[in-house]
Amino acid sequence: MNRFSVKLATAVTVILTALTTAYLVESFNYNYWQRYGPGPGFMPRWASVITLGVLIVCFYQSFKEEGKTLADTFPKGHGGVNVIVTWASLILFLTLSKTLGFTVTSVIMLTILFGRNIKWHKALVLSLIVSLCCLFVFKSLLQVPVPVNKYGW
Amino acid sequence: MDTVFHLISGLTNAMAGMNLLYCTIGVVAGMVVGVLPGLGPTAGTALLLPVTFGMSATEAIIMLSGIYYGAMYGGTITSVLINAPGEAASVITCLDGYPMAKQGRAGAALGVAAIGSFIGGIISLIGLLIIGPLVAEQALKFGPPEYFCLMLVGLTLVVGLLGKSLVKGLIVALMGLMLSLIGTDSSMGTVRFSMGIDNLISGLDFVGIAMGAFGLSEIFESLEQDLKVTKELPKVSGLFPEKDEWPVVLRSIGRGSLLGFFIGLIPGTNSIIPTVISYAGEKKLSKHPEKFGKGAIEGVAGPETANNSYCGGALVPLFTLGIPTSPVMAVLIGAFIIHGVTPGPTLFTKHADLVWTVIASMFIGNVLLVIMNLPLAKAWAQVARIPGKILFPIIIIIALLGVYGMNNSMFDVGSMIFFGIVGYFMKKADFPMAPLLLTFILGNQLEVSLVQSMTIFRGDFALFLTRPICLVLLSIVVTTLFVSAFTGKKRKEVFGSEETEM
Repeated sequence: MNRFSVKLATAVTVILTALTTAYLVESFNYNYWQRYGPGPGFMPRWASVITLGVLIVCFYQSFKEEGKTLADTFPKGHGGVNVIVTWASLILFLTLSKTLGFTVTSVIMLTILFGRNIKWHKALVLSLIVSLCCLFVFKSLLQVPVPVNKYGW
Repeated sequence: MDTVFHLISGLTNAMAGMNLLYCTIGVVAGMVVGVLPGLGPTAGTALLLPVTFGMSATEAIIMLSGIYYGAMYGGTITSVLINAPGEAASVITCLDGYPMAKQGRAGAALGVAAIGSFIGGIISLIGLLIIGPLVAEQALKFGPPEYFCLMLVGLTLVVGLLGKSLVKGLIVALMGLMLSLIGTDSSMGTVRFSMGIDNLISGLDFVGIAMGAFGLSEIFESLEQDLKVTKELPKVSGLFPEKDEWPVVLRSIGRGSLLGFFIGLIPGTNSIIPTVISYAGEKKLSKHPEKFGKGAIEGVAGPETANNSYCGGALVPLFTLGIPTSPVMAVLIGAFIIHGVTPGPTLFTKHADLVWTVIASMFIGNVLLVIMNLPLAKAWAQVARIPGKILFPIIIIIALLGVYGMNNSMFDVGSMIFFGIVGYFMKKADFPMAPLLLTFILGNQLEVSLVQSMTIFRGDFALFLTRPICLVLLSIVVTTLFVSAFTGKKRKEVFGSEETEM
């Protein structure tokens, strides 16, 4: 069987089952019952056992019901590239903003995102305007902290 | 008499400087969210939640509530003018609103929708004023076992009524519960499931999950399509119905108001349900059912009233029991908690000022919306023409800044991105995301009340059944699960199978 003909729901169920099993195993490290009542392991153990039960039913249902396969989960063409570029730019923001600061990272990120649909020099100008506006609104107006570089911007 | 006194005092507070400003900002932002296709009230409130960090609890809730009911108004405009519902509850409005616009009656359709929404909103707020304190008073008599069972009822109804599959809803709900247990245990102080990561000692943050699972995942889905609106806007003139249409319109508005309010009281319902029932009812009661779908004015008046009235009804369980009945309510409850206020039976007594000011601000917000809607409908519709390629990157950067600003932590940014991507795939696999947020927000309370109950019962689960209220509530849980399992397919054929936002 081609691995891409596997249903998305089946794949999600398998991943969730693995995570829930790990959660259940970890829950055994916490006391189930203490002197006067339930301990910190009580709720996690019940929750993960019930979840595993329901996941088994879901796994069985995922074979019977119609649903998207892995092959047709992700959009093809322009839409798919849009999504991937957005994820990449988000990861870029996550990794660079503490070093480069918000303003530079935001301009890079927005130029990438705007640049998908408009000319790069227009995208750059627009990114700069949006970044500075955001910086002003959040940092000065709302006094919400923003990630900054060693120069403070 | 107390209610009137509190309401007057609330109105005075709500009219005071900053509260009025935040109410106006909230309804304007809500209108924008409602008008824009691809963004609904849940994503809107979740994405703008961090903006409220610098505000007081009252200001924050006033603004977020404004976004909520403002979005309900906003969705109507694009439904009528360009046949593109801005949010799920306005889908039904397209059926008769757009044909009316094509007949040159866009103004009447928008006028009736605005008047209906206003009346529906006001009637449901009056309902909230009357029922809210009564329910809260009764809820104060509940002990931990009753409260645990009550939360279970709320969650079961949400899981049972939302999404395509009961099983998938249950899984997501349980995942939300398990995520809420990460961090320091509230009774013993034990750190659980932190995997050695310092940021997890205090648990995952609600805002990151809400913004990721609802805000970002929705944007990712929207980015797959071209959201550019190219349709020309029809002319908007004559904002009121014909003289002979008034009696029919007013009757539809009256029915829609009551229907929306009472459906709002039931956890797990969404604002599509009252609109669909209202539309079907209006068609059945009409002397000219053949006109429906071709521009019947009552086909706009009834559903539009019902969807706004629903908002007020949905606030009753939130304010009185602390139980969010929909994802938007979960975001609101999150805002309450972030600002140090716990919604529940004591809200009306401990935070009377806040709750009455918020309710009063909703009256003011509804008036503001009518003023903004009737003469400015066409201007609002222009907002819907902003292309997604410009809009979504701006929303993303605001979301990133907002979630970072919450704790000054890149970990929260990472968790938002993670839950955004997870939510995107989960939605594609038909796992509804609403239960995740609801159980995550209620997880701590569920655990505390269960632990307290089990301590009282000395570990014997069967003793839940010896308490009459628990017995009734658990019967509702079991019945809901059975009914949902056996009637799910048919119900989804009527109300649609997609997970809806409200």
